[in-house]
Amino acid sequence: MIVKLHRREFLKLAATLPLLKLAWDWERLSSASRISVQGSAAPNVVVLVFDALSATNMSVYGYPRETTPNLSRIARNATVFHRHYAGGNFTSPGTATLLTGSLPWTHRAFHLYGTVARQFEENNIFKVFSDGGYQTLAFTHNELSAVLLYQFREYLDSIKFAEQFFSNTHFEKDHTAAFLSERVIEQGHRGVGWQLPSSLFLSVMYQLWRTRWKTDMQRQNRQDFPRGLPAPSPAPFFYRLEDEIDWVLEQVAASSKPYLGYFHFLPPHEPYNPRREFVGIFDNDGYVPVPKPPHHFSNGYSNKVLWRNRKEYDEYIAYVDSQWGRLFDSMQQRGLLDNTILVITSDHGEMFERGILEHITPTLFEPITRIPLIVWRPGQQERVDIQALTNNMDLMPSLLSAVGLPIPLDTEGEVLPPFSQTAPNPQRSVFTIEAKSNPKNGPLRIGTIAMVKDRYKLIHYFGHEGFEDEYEMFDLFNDPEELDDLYLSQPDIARELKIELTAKMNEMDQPYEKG
Amino acid sequence: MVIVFLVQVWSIYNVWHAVPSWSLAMDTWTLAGTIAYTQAFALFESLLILGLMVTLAVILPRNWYKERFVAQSSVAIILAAVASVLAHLYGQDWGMWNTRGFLTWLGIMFCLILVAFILVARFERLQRGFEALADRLLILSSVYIAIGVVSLILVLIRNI
Repeated sequence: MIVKLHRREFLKLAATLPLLKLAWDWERLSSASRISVQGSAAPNVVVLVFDALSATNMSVYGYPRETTPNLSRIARNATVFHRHYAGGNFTSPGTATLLTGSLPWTHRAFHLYGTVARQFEENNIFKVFSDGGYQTLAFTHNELSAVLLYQFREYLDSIKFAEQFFSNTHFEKDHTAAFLSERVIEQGHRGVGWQLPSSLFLSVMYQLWRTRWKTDMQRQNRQDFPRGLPAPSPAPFFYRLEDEIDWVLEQVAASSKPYLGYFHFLPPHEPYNPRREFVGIFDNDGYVPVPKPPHHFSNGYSNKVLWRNRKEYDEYIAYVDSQWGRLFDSMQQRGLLDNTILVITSDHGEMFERGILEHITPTLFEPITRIPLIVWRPGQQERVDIQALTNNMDLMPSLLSAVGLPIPLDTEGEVLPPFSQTAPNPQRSVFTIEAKSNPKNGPLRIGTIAMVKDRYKLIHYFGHEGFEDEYEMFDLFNDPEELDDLYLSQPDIARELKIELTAKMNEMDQPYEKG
Repeated sequence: MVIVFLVQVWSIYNVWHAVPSWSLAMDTWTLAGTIAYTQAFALFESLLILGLMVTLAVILPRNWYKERFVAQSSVAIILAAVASVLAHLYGQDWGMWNTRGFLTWLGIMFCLILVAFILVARFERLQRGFEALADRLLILSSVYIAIGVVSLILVLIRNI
């Protein structure tokens, strides 16, 4: 049906156009005023994640080696969380826990290169801050966290992935699939024994180019980095933390709106390659780590190898600490901290004991699970030490609460002090989950879960070959090094904790059970 | 056809090692997409090598290469594939990933291909043998080309 429009009706319609324009402008003006109101008062939030940083190796938490003098200085006016735990034991689950406010059994990003369940694409820290009028910035060195950030890219105003992959620029819309295939085409699939590139001919040229570039870069920087420039072994790139810190400073200085900055740096993740001035600073310092017997999941490393790596890791932390100091001082001098909440944390820890090196292990001992959390706020006059049990899933609700934004209903985390009005729950249990061998949409049948409640920690290994259904229990107050397994000697406490853990696991598996 | 066969078989074989862990972490659509990128790239790689061969055939004197294009291309690509696989497996041990090592590898491969070219030109039976091989790979390679084309379409759909 064609409707004929007479001249008079047309003129009437035309007369309403200015009103429509006014209505449109009003919407723009009012939304702009909402942002500007927020802009004048709302604090900026900077979350600094340092990969594989264990609280057990930081002097700010009492480690005998002076690894973090700058952080100790920053902590004089900050809130320091002493019993803060990661959600998982490697980047994907650990980072997703921080970004979604949920544990791996809920967000489901527990695989290498894992992504979160679809519901969290709409329920993550960037979405809520973005909806609240915040500018959202993200940077990462780590390809596992890059996969997650690209999953949330819709809510990110700016995203920078340190590695220059083709998929970053050409397949941003379909990043996960494009990125994983690019890795396989160039270098083969990471995480399995067999690792050869799927490209037969062109990958030879790529390998040549990559190796030559690496050699040149190492030669150029040998003076400053005698052990070589930091480079995660499988990745085709190098970085200097100094450059990335400078980039962060530029980004936050250029922000005109209140912003959320999520900056995920790879150091002190291996390889432990600090600047020259930090190499050897702990040589012959007399510190001897507590020797621990090999675990069932030992990789066979001797104490000599483990302790050498531990020393190099400590040197690397000291180097990272110098950059914390530089970043903090620069931000303070430029007035960038006047209205900024600064958070320093990690995605998981690192381990040098029981024959196990780094963090690729099914075990969940304290060096891997206990990570730093330090929150600096403008105006805080003294250091506040929090001994309550906390988890990285608490960070999202805490920061949302701090800036007055709504907390999504299905967030599992709790609002932490100093942002909470109530005291922490002393009966709370916190969990760390290792579940990379399970299907994304199935119940957890193989893995390890650590539950910490009050002074006790219960670790449950299930489905592992030769370690089908095993428990370990430690009293973290009397035995912080986790040397004395109390599971059999204190059956009443063990039973109580086991009932709680089993009930929780059943509850979390329930949506994925068939029938 | 030999190019498509070798490039695609190598690609599928290596991607297949990743599929079990991908299938744990991904839904079917993402898994299909991830595999599709690798197979679309294999098709691109095949076309690139084919383009190189055709260009050589145009440039070189007719009786050197063009007259025995199928046989000589087949033998060249088989030798290059063997050299590439060895480079992937042992390149690090051989110190191949620097200019000198790479040029040595390239030189040896080039010499072997040259010898094979001469042998194919001299012995007609050898020429017929490689032509027969290419002929027999026709059906399989057609399947692989189809996989490559479907993968390319899938990649396009995922990026629309």
